[in-house]
Amino acid sequence: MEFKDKVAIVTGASSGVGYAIADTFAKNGYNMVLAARRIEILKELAGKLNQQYGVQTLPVKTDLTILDDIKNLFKETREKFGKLNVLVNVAGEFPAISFVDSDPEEFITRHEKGCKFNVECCCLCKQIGVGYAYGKQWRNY
Amino acid sequence: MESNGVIINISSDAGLEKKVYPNQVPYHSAKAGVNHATRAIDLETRSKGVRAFAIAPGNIDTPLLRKTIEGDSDLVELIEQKAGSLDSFYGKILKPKDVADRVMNIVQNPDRYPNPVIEMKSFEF
Repeated sequence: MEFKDKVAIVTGASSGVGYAIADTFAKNGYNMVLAARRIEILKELAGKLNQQYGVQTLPVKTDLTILDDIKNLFKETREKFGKLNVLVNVAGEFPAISFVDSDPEEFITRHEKGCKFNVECCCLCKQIGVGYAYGKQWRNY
Repeated sequence: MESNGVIINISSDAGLEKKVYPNQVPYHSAKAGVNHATRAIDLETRSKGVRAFAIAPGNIDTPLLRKTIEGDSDLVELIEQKAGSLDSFYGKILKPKDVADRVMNIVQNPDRYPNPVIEMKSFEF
């Protein structure tokens, strides 16, 4: 199969869009690194994809708000597969709050949290992932 | 140039100019940030054979969306007016598989997507 040796990381793989992407990539022959906070669900998905499509899978418990967890995700990927072709950032959240009716502290906190999770995590994953895709060592991990 | 790496962010149409949702200021800031940061990242990485994309879909039937809608009575009312019922709304919007198929298509044919931000339309409320 054309994609037999390719490797993809999916963040937010435990449900919804991330889960569907993990399934579609595995079906197309990608070896999968599955990242989310809920490791039990990831392990179950990893087993299912391995059994159903014969690809190798690596579940990694990852909280994307923690830099060490992001570093560990790429480290484990390198140790198991030694390569990375595709990174899909799915994890995100809806920090719903009224602009008009909330108090300023609460609004700012929620706003920061939303941006940290949705933007910074995507950029961090990309920066580390791009360095990795070039085959560079990124700060020795 | 043959692409040797692809990075995809699942963003949102909330990051596009034409769409705003109620009580979602932080989400709009974040997703507009993701979209434009992705353009800037793609500019830097493209010459190295790595493409970066942000997919900006409308509503997708996920546990996260259902939880958000069903926890907001104003939103439920708005959707019932637009779609008749919640079930009818869920039946009309994008499914996770639709997004997964698009991601696979981009990864297999990155050169067909010169623009790093890719909109996917859904049923709107």
